[in-house]
Amino acid sequence: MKVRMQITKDPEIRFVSHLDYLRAIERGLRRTDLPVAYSEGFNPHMKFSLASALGVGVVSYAEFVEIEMAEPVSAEEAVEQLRNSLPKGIRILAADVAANNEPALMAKAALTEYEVSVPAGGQDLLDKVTNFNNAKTLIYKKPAPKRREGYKEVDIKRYLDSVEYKRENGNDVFRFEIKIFEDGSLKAVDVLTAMGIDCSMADVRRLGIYRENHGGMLRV
Amino acid sequence: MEDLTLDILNNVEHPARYTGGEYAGAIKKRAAVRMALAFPDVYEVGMSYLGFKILYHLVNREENLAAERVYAPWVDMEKHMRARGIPLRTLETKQVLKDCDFVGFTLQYELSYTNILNMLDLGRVPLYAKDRKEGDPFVIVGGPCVFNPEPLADFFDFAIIGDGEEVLIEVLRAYEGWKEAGSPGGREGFLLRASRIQGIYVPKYYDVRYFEDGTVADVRPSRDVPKTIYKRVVTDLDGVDYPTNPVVPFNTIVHDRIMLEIFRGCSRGCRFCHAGMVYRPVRERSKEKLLALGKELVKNTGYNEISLFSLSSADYSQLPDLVHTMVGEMHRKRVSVSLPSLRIDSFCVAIAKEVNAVRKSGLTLAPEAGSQRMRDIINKGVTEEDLLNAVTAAFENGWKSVKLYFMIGLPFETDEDVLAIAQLVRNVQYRYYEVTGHKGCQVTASASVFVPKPYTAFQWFGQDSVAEMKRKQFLLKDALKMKNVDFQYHDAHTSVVEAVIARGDRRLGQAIYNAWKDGARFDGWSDQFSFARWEKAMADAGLNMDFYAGRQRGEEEVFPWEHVSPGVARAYLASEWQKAQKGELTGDCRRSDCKGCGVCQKLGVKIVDYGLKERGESVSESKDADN
Ligand code: SF4
Repeated sequence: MKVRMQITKDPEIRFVSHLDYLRAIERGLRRTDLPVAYSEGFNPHMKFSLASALGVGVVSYAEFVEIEMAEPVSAEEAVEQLRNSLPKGIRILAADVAANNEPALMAKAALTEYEVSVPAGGQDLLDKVTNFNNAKTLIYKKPAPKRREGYKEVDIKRYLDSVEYKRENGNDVFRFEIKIFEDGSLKAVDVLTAMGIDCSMADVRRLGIYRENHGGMLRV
Repeated sequence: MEDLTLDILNNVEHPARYTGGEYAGAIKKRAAVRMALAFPDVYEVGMSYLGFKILYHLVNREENLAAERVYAPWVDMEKHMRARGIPLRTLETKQVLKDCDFVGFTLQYELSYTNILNMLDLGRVPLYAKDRKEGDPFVIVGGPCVFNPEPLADFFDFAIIGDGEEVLIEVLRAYEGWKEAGSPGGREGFLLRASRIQGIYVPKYYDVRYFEDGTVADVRPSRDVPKTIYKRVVTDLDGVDYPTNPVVPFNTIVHDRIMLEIFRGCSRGCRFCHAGMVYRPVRERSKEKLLALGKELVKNTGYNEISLFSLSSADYSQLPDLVHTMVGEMHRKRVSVSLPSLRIDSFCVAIAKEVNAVRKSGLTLAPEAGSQRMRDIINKGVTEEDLLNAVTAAFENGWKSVKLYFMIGLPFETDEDVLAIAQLVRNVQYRYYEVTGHKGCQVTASASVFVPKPYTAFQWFGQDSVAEMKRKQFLLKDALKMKNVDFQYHDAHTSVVEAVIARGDRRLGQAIYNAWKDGARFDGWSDQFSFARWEKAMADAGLNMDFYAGRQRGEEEVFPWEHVSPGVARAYLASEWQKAQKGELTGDCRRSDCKGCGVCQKLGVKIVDYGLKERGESVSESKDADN
């Protein structure tokens, strides 16, 4: 059986890399007495997985971890033990148990919801947002992943139709949902950068991950 | 005040170095006394340092006292901080260094000294002790290089000499009392109080006079303070609290595992070794204590590896027993046990295999020198046969590669001694062929340039010139052009600067300042180091590198560091220096008779070794040694 949890990556640890975040969970698990399953062989590792790599600097309230157990445990027990063993910036929001062969939660993920806020400049950005929402296509030269040259042309509108916008406490705040396709998805800053919004000070937060057609949030 | 904003953190390497929030960090919002434990290198290096884990724990468990961590920002971050006027803060409660009561630096290596100045500057603390006013923090130094603190004497207020566990708390409590009493006498009032605590050195209470030739004439106290400051020693390691709940980093750090100190000190007596002299005598923790600590550490940290740490872990009196029991206990959580280094003569396959029971790591051995003559000069006490036996056992048990550490530029070294390193590497490879019938044993041979250190038998030795070092490196490189051999060495220039500072005096403060002002940072990182900058810094201070590094020192010469002492007698070091020239060996005092270094008698301490209960007796028979 496996225990599935929705956990956070809070603002205080947003700059922890994906691999380091993964290891922090692993260490958290080892601090508990939970019967976590290990792989066989020379280099035994804990059997757990974390869905989707989050960019460094992005806060998330919707990370999904699946932990295989060698013996049955209840979700309550797992949460109880792990809660105080994780660094403060990782909180458990929800948990359930499932069979080992149950497909990974993320396999069904279709939408990611983000909120991005940037310090407001002099201008209101309503025009830019309206233009974007009305546009049929918006071609964006997406920079290649780190350390590689070049870019890839993508149509931002393939991934989302519209962006919500408001001004709040001196910030421009955007909320939108990006579709996940089999060939990948977009980063939140790609969307805003394509719209011509300066993202150097952007505070990006992943709010949730949803199943197809909003068949409910991937919460367990 | 400005702080590290998202755009800055998005544009530096490893941003999590600067943001804290790690598991088990001690956040004490209110404390009567707040100290920054400042490590003058990047986070990943500093977080690996056991000494600060210990002090962090001991201070934070005390009511009203708080210890916080701060590391040197890497050059990319420094640029952003200076451009926006952002000060250096601690990781826990984000205190600017100037707002702490104490800023304590550990002196681990000489090439980190410019980082100390840089951190003080970024933390808004006046660099020179004489410029600090009421309300500024007291800047403290400690750690192994504190046995010659003189090059930094202008910059720190006082130094803690020796084991810090007990004395640091005494200092912080004394400060608390002084503050509660209304800070009588101002800064000076506290310094005087501090100077009465044993093991505390206040440099401004000592005057140095020089001869015309530049050597030290004498060092004399200008106040009612001891003529020589002897180090503090923790006599019973089982009795001091060990950090069983250390901060667990997110970033991958240099030693990313549990570090369990199994004993302190080493009395093998290698003549080049600074640590072997300044951490005497050997004091073990008991096996029972270590097993209990190990369990607790795994439970609290979640690490999957535990390193049995010391200067020479294979010398632990009950090692096989300890390793075997620990490996068994750790298996359920797949925690592996490792030893940081294995000595050649005590290399034991049974242990080597067991410590790799869960994970296979490389085999590293340190013959230090290539020829027997040279190994005798440095008192390494191992033979080529010891080495070949060790690798034979390793090869028979499946190891296919070995890493060998050597030094070049040692006293009395000839070209034959240098070339003997290549021959030794060849013999190791041939032994692999004999054992396995295959060629292709991978050997990594690393040769560092020897740097003479204070309080060693080689403190008199004039270091090789850069030209000579380079010639020897070239010789060896040429001789090691073999298949499957990787030869590693580094820029000889860094060793010269290290040697200058290691045996420097107070006048070097000006050179360190000049180098820092001219942009010196992270001198221990070859991509940041500039020899030209140091040459200029020295010249502008009116100093000569050769005087400090290359000059053979006179037998009777007063050294700049002798008023701060680990208790080792000068007469003993002089006799070791004599014996080196004759290639005579000195044995280990750990489980045999006292060799007269003087530490035990001078400091009233003794060896703690569980392989030898009645050590007290042989110590009392020991030769009388005095400084
Ligand atoms: S005084 Fe004697 S027993 Fe003590 S460390 Fe020195 S040589 Fe060894």
